[in-house]
Order: sequence, then C-alpha cells, then structure tokens
Amino acid sequence: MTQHYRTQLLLLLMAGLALGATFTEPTLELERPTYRYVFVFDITGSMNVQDVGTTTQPMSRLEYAKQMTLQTLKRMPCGTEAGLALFTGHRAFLMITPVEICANYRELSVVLSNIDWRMTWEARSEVAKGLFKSLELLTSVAGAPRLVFVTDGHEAPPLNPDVPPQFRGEVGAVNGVIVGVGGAKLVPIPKFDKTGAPAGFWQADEVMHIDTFNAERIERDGGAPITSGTEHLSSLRETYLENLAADTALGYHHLVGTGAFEEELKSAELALPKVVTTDIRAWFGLLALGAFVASLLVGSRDKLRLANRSPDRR
Amino acid sequence: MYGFVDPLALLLLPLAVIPLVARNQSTVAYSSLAMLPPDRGSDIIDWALRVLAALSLIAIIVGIAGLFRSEQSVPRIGQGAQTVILIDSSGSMDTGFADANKARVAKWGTYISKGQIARQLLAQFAEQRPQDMFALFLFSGNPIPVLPLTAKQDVIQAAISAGTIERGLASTDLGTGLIRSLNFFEGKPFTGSRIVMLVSDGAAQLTIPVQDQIRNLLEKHRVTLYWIYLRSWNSPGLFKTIDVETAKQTAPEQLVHKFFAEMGLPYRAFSAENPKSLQEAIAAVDQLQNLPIRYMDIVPKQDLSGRCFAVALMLLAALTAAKLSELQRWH
Repeated sequence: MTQHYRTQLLLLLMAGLALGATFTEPTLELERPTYRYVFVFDITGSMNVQDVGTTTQPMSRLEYAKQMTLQTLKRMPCGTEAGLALFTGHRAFLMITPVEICANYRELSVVLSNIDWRMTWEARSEVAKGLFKSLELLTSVAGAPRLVFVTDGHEAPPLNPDVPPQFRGEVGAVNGVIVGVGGAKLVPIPKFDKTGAPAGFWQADEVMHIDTFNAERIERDGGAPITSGTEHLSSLRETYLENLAADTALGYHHLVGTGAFEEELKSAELALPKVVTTDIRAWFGLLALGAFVASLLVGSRDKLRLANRSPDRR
Repeated sequence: MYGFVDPLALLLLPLAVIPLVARNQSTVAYSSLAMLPPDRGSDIIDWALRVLAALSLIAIIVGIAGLFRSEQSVPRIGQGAQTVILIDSSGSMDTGFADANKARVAKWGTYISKGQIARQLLAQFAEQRPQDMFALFLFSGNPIPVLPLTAKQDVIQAAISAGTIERGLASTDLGTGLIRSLNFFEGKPFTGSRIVMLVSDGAAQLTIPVQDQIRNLLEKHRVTLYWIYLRSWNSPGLFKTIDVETAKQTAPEQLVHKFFAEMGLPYRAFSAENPKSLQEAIAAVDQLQNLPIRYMDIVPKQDLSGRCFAVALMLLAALTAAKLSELQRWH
C-alpha cells in the first residue's frame, strides 16, 4: 500500500465523517443580530395620493408602503418578528404583536394587505402626536421591538406653529425609524364618498389651512375663515419628518424600493443582538470539502512530475 | 423557487472540476504499459468515478451555500370549527369589568378593563381549541379585519393580545361589525361549524334594517352566533328582567340579546362573569358538527442543505468503496 493511497483513504474517511457530522445538526451559541419591529402605517387621507411607484404604474403611498414592506419582509432572515399597527387621528392602534415572519408569512401578508384607509376611526392626521403615541405604545410591547413609522408627514389640520406637540416620553427609550413615503411635488388628495367610491379631490375651501386654535380665534374675532392655501395638496414632508426623527432619536428613511429599506431595517441601530443557536453544518461541510479536495490532489503533483519525466526514462 | 442562504459559497463550485482533471489513482508498476490494449471498460469506469466525485463536490458546496426552497402554498385539510372572533374595541370596553372598578375615570393601566378580560378569555378559549381555525375582526366605528382564518396559535394569540396594550377606539357600530364578519363567509365553501363569537358589552343599538340583514346573513351562511358578554359595573346584565323602557336607557344590551335570542337561529350568550362560561363555551363548540376544512397554507422556507450533504455522503461512500477496490499491486 503506497503512502499516497493511505493518505487518500484517510482524507476520504475524514470527509465522510465531517459530512456525517452534519446530520447531528451541530449548533453553536453565537451572538447574531435579530430583528423585531412594529410597523405603524399611516392610513390617513393623504396616504391615498398616487404619487409613488413607477411612472407607468403609479400607486398610492399606502399601497406602495405595504408592498415594499411585504417584499422586504420576505427578504429578512427567518426568526425576524413583525407586528402591525395603524395610525390615524392622533394615535396608533396595534393590530398584532410581533410574530415570526417565516412560519406566519401567510397570515402576516393578509393582515398587511388588508390595511386600508377604510379602517380609519378619526378623520384627522396628527402625525407628531401619532408618532409620540406609537413610541409610548411600544414601551409596553414585549421584546423591545423597533418602531417603523410609515407616513408622508402630512399634518391635518395644520399644527399651531407656536405650540407644536411635545414628546413627553423618554427620548431614546424606543429605537426605530420614520419611513417617509410620497413624492416631492404638491399634488391633490383624492376624496372618497361614504361608500368608499372615489369622489374627486379635496378642494382648497374644504380643508383647514391653519391650526384649529388660530382658526377659532379668527372666527371669534369675526374674521373671514382662511380658505386658500396649499393644505388640500400633499407632498412628502421630509424636512418635517427628519426634525421629528431628530427630536425622538429615531432614524429617517425615504422609502424608495426594497434594497435600501432592507439595509435600513438591518442597520446596527435597529438590530437586536442576541445569542442565538446558530446552525454550523456549513462549517463541517467546508471541512468535508477541504478533505475531499485534498484527497483528490494527493499525489497528483508527483504523477505529473512522473509523466514529465517519463520520456527521459524511456 | 429555490435560493441560497450564503450564495457566496457558490464561488467554490469551480473546485468541482478537480476530479475531472486530476490523476491520482494509484499506479501499479507494469513492465510494458504500451503493450496493453486500450480498455474501454476501464476508461468508462474511470470517467464515471470522476463524474461521481465532481457531483459529490457540487453537492457539498450547494449544501454549504444553504440551498432552500422558498415558501409555497399547499392545500391542507383541517378538522374543527371556523370561528370568527369579533371584538368590540370601542371606548366602553375600556371601563372596568362588572364590580371590579366603580371609579368613573380610572387611570389606564391601573385596573383590568372589560376588553382585557375579554381577550384573556379568548386567549384561553383559542388555546384550548388548537384544532379550530380562528379569524379576528375588531369593530369600533369601522370594522377592522385583523386576521384571516388560521390554525396557527402564535398569530392567533398575537392578534388577541395586541388589543390589551392600549385603549380601544372611540365609537361603536355593532351592526356594521357583525355584518362585515358574517360577510367574511361569503363565497367560502361550507366545511363545518361556522361560529361568530361576538365579544362585547353590547352597548349598542341595532336598527330594524340592520337586524334584518344580520338575521339573513346568519341564516344564509349557516353561522352559529355566540356572545361573550361583559357586564358594565352599573348594568343589570343580560338576564335580570327589567321592562323594555328601562332597558333602553340602562341596559341596551338586553335588547340586543332579546333580538338575537328571538331570531330562531343558533345563538347562545355566555357571561364572562361566570367562571364556568369558558368551559361552557368550549363544550358548546364541541357539540357542533365538524367536517374537514380545506384551506391553502403557505409552507415556510424549507432547508435542503441536509439533503445535499446526504447525497454527497452517499457519493463519497461509493467513491471510497471504489478506492478500496483499487489494485495496489499485481497478484
């Protein structure tokens, strides 16, 4: 028995053992990033504006946000947990606490696609208060989920510039990101009738152009109500949202496509490092691969040399 | 649809050509090799072994890369009742339950509200009926469909508990909520017991047209209606007899109950105050007849790397056997 032959057999045996070891499902306790979010979707009127998506196939901000979220969730690793909530009026309403996304994908995708402006319970859109309430809500949800607040930043009625809502909670207690969705240009906001059928667009004289407090003051003083302005139009209010994010120690992300959104969601700020049981079968697979390849290479160089040398010998 | 956990590992695939080019079989000294006739059989065996080795390498590498099959939808058959839970999420459900709290305005979080009691009961109910499928609707002003029919306890419990964290919403529209949850069965095959489990304090009024619609839908979709009733601390409850006029003012739920009870359709009310009602409700559902339920489920991502390693191991075993049968010297 040659030396090479013995080495080859030994290496093959090693490869076999390493492969066999993968069937014992070897695992290691490793620190890995895990992800747990509560997505809060703004379902107020301005989210029905169709100014996102592709130019050939524009869709509403809400629809776009839902689709991007669903597609991004599909790309997140199993073990990621997602909960869903709605925002309208001045608060968030939790529909489902975070659940694992792979095992419950069908259910989550149905809950998510069902989200609709018709679920609304109040025809106001107080984004700042809704955000603060969402942060407060999340302090009570187990497992320190990250807030993903999806909105266009359209406040209706407008805020009183003298007394903007203040966040009274602990800044930084809940981590998360504000996700801005919408176009940069001011566009009309679709209107719906009681049955939910489209009914044109909101007109300038149908919406409030200044805050409630000042509007009432003007009315008390006998002044004419302000009926012109741009509040019946809507665009993504990015600067406003960035400021809100800065005030509450959240991140800001402009939603365009799934790639950047996935990166944002997987960012170190939003990840929850956790010691998890990690599958290390691939390591044994690599070992087997190495041994196997080595067994194939053993002696081959000698043989090449022999082959080269053979003409001399002859 | 297939994918890889670590697609980068596929860069190792070129290693699979090694067995096709390597020459490392044991050599046996022979006096005059050139005299041997070409042996096609040996050549074929030689190549077959090389191909097997290459395949084995490919299998290992694909295994390392973590081959998986993405989620797919498959038809499944379940057995059990289909229950649509319809939870009242109106402001009145935020008040204290029965005699637990008489303060008019108590600070949220310092007491247990009717809504929280209801959800605790539901959570236990769902937990004890693992073979059943549940869907969840909420109603306040507008009905909010939360969960489609599913038998997965994780999601069911997550949806039930979500509402215990914060206050409910403002208004109540029991009629629209009921109609919406009954319409949920529209177009779905009838496979057995259908239940709408209303969870409410019943602080609502149903107009005659709405009553008609509810009755028709219950009949049309063959739905059994259960009402888990939560008494307000100042209410006489469902079962204490008072005259209609007083009821209108102090206990509108009595009128709702009366309507349900007189429909002539399967209906039962369970009082959440009664500690036995949970068991009674479970027993009541047990008595309903169940047919197999067909539904589509999504099978989650399935790991296939184990199979790759298994294939690799089998090929490797064959190659090792071949190696063992190699001649080391002439006999």
